[in-house]
Amino acid sequence: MLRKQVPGYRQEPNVAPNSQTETYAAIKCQVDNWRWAETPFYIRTGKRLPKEVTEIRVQFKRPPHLTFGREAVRDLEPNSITLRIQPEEGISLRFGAKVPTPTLTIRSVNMDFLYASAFLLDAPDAYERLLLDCMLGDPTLFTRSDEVEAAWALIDGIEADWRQGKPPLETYPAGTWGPPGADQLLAQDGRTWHRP
Amino acid sequence: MAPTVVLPLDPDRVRTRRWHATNTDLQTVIDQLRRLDRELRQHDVPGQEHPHPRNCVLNLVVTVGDQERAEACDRLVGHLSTMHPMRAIVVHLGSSDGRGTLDATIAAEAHRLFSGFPVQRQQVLLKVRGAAVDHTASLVEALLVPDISTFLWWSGREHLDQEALRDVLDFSDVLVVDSSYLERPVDGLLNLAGLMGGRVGIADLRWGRMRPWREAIGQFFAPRERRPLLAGLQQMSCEAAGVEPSSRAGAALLAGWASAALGWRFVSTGTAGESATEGLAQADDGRQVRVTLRSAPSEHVLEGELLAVEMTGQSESGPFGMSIERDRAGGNHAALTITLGAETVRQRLVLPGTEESDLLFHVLWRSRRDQVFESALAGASILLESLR
Repeated sequence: MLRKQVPGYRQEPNVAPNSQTETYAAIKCQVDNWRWAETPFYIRTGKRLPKEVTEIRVQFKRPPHLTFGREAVRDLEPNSITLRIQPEEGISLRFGAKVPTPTLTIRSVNMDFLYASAFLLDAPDAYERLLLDCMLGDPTLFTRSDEVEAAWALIDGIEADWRQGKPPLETYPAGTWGPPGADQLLAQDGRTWHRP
Repeated sequence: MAPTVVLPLDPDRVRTRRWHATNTDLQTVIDQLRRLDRELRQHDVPGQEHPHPRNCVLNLVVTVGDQERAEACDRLVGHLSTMHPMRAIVVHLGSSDGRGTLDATIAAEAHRLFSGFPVQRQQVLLKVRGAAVDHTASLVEALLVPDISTFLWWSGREHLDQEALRDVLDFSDVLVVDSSYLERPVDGLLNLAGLMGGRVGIADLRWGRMRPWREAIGQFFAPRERRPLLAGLQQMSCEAAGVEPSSRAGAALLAGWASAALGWRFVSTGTAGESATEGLAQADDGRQVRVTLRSAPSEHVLEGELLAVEMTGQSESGPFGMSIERDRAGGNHAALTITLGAETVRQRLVLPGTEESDLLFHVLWRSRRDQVFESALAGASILLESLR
């Protein structure tokens, strides 16, 4: 886990000049049960990153044995499903396909579903829908209180350490995907962040 | 093998939407890109019918240093789009002095191919000046389509150094250069060699231009009865147009290709007069092969392009050799001479036109890595060092 602050944040209106608020965090979590054993969850969020984007990527494990030769799968990435929350809402499935040539080469390709393409309708703004649901008394899209409390139970411990300056708050360059430490967080597991 | 024809656009099969703004900001560019895309999609399918999904297979980022080149690259990329539905971002970098400004032009095109298959091209021309020049990477990255390969075509003549490349390579999968066009081709190629083995693949348009030469050499040794000749090679010489040692960079690349393919290891290199460089290579069986790179002035052939290649050796059945001699008057053919013992065969070798768009087309068609090129570059590194 690491936390950082983007340079210039303390100069923004209504921000304390000695603010210790983080504008970037990268966290690795694991769920301690048999179901999620050996499945790490990596979370990264921050201000002034190269793109304004929210997505969840589920990356599948590479099987221990790939049927085709090493050369055939040289450019093959692990299969994945990406749930794009914003700005281009949709779902992408990424998997290996044979390149249509006489040689046997497998390359990763995408199968995309985009709300904007599929329905040609502008989806209502997120808060527009929630405010309407509030007025109608429909709680379907709201987080239940026990779920909120469970989330804070996880975050409170982290925040308590951060308030005591552990780890120390440092800066990261604006317009990048964060400090090198974020890359190292995954590199130690032999992984890299997906670039959205 | 990739198709070899880059089709011009048929105006009857293309619908275009354009947008242009000066002194704009990145978010406006992103919003306009989405708007144009939506307009084209809605035109495709009236009512509620399901439109064709996204059909973009790659991002192509082109960096250029002047207006004329920016316009040329803009046209070239447009011609490629029928075979490579893509989002192209042409970045025209101005002076980094003064206040940062961004001018943007977007062209979104929907093509209906002859097969009826609809494809789409989006092309963004960004003119970046002032302080914004130092943040080009973050400007470009926000415009990339996710989850597809990103090719970065370094199309300028500027020196290709690690400093300049550091940020832009971060979002690229393949770096494309034309080392013939670089101001310092030897240093550029050596810098490319330094990138090998990393995440980013590399490609050189010069390598594509040398393809007829490589194929002719490969075909000479291809018949089964000629393969033993490879073990008898004693000498290889490559001549390139020009005067300066840097003009021999392409010749070094060709010699590097042969050395990598045949397992030669260079044990010494050095200059041999003002217009030649020599290397002594050792084959796996201990045999020595002399490699000579020469420069020769030429009025009709561009500096750095190959003029001649000769390979000679000795086999059990006597001396053998093959040479390719380009038409020095600049014609698109070369004389191929094959000598096997007492027999000599002469052929005319056609050197097909190598337009930049054709060369780029083949690079985009490939997957991320051209391992033969990378091996050739690795093999040529020691010769390139001696050309510095």
